[in-house]
Amino acid sequence: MNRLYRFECGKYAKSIGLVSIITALMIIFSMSFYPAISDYMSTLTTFFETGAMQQVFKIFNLNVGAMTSLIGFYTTYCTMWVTLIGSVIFGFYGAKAIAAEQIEGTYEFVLSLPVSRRKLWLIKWSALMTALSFYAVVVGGSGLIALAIYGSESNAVLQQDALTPALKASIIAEQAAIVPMMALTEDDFQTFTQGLIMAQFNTSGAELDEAGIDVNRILSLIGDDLEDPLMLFDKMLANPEPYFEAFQLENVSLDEFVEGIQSEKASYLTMHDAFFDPMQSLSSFFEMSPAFFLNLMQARGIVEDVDHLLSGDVSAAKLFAPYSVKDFLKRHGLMILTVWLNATLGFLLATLVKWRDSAMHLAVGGVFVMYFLNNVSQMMPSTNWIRWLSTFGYFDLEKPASGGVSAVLCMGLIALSMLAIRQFERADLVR
Amino acid sequence: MSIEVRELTKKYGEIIGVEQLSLNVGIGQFQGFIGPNGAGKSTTIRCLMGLLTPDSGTFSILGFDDKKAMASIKASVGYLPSEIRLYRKLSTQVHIALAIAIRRDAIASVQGKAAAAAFEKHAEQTAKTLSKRLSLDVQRPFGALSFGNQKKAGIVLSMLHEPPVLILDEPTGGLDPLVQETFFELLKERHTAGTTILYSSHILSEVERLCDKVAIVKSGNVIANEAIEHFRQKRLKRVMLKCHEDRVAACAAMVEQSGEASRVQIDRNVIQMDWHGLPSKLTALMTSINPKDFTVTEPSLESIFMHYYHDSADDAEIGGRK
Repeated sequence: MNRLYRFECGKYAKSIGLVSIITALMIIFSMSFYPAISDYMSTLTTFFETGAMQQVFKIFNLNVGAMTSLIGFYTTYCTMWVTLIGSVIFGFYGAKAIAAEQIEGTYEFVLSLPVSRRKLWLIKWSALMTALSFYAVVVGGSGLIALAIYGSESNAVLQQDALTPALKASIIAEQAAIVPMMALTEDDFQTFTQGLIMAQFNTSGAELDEAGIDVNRILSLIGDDLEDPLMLFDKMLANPEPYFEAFQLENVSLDEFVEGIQSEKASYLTMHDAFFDPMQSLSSFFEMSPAFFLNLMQARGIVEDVDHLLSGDVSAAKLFAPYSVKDFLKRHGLMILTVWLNATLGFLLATLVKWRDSAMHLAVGGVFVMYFLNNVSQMMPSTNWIRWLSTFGYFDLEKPASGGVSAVLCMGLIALSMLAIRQFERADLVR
Repeated sequence: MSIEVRELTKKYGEIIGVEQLSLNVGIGQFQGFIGPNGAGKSTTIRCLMGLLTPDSGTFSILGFDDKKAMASIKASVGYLPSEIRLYRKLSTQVHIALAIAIRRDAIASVQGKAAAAAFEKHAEQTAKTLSKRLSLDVQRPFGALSFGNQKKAGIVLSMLHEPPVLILDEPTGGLDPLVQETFFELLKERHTAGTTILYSSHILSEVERLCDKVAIVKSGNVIANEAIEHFRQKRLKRVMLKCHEDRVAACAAMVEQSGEASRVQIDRNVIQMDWHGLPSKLTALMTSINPKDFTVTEPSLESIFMHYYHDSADDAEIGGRK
């Protein structure tokens, strides 16, 4: 192995070794809270749902709802350790890899040896990536250990990865037998429809926002009435003006609005009948929210029966588990990619700027600014575009960048790296 | 040529480091490179080592061109900077091992593994010998070494591969007289073995003692580059006149009026000066002054150097040229 590469790796041995072990211990320590918190999750959820707490969680980009599952808890609780602290540390070390030698004057020794600047730059980059890989393995390993330790104390939750198209088709095909086993209730129907409405608001939030419709105003007007949609329809029909004003629909008259509500009410009633019909229920609604029906099967304790009915296609152990290693690795990979992006930018920043004395401070400050920008981007749908200005926006755990965006990012980084190598080859590296 | 510098220019913003500097150093030559602080010596050397990128101009060392073969240049050169800055927590031994390993890899890629292994063995032995001769404890962390010992570490690192070219930038700073003597011996041995040495210094006695050729740098340019003997053979002479006590002022006035004297110093009835006129004019001056006694000696390198720098207006420019 190249001696200079080993030498560069050796520079990280103590610091990154220590950071990795401390982060790993923090993860295991943090996860030890899971059993206690999961026991009181319903109480805590009520507290977390207060307006003030919601704002606090939004600022820190935390998804409290996800904390009920073990993986969700890991993601919510440990993102701060792995991603933010990791990004700060590696952003700093990325910049230090280039800048420190100039500040301390050691380039005079290294560059007097027969090694080209390009090679030195690439070796420094490789050593930084090796240190990051060590961090990823140690921290990821500690996450898996924590999941293994606390998995036995966690509820089994639906594993989306196990839900294949073939399985969905099999379940729908056997709806005549499965629906009676599920013993659907009016409460189930209400929960289902509320979920659909909320999902609709969430997915169309940006469009509604763009159209000038204040979603929050509508939701506060509807309030608890959402729990009984039929009553809500009747209330809206009896006194449509406030709702008409809240929706602020252009080119729609009040009469047309009322007609729309009547039409929606009729659809709702049709949907209600279909929901309870064993010949229509799953074929009409299962694809809309497979998680709803599968969680219901789990709650009613019929997963094994369904499994039996489908000749082993539905394995309770596969579909419902405390956590999925594959899911964990995917999330951990996204976290490490964010750290990688910050480390890379710190490294490139120190190469490209002339005032390398400040590069390390700039890199650390930059990471915090990026983190803040990403959180601002999640405050409102209209500010969502800001995520692309942030290194934390590309590998978001819930909605990572598409392949196209990732490809553009990679190409941008490659172009920046080529520019940085050129700059490193020409720069005056001694004072 | 061993070292060939062609019209090298390096500016730091508006400040000129060197401008259109050219210098040729022959193979096996012990080349002095003198000039006051800020004249451009270190800038030139740092450009040669690839630490600074010249704004214009080119150079080659042992025929290797700076634009194409910087790695070959570094493989052939031993460099001792004026201020040694190594990794403070690491021992000299670690630095030696790293330097040998990187040089070994460079040799392996060109000459093969057998040559690299032979080099490694020889370089390790050379480093041990150098450390022993310089009384350097290679196990101590670099940061814990005194300035003089840090310099010794630099000497070992610059010479362990027995390079055909040595570039030394003010190498004796921090060394005590005994170690200086050992260092000079080492340099003479290397020179005898055929190594080309570029020796930058402002300590003229060292250069006079060691070098066979001297380049004088002024305002970022080489204003003279000749053998020391050649400098001495020039008309420049150091003249000491012992005047009659009552005629000192008149004698001094006559010296001034001659227009051929510089660095005139008067101490009671003794007048000293550098004479750069014709011998016949000096004879005529002597006749007019009619001194009690006089001596005419070959100039020291310092005298020659000061002759080139005697213009005070020019001196003021040094170190802050724009």
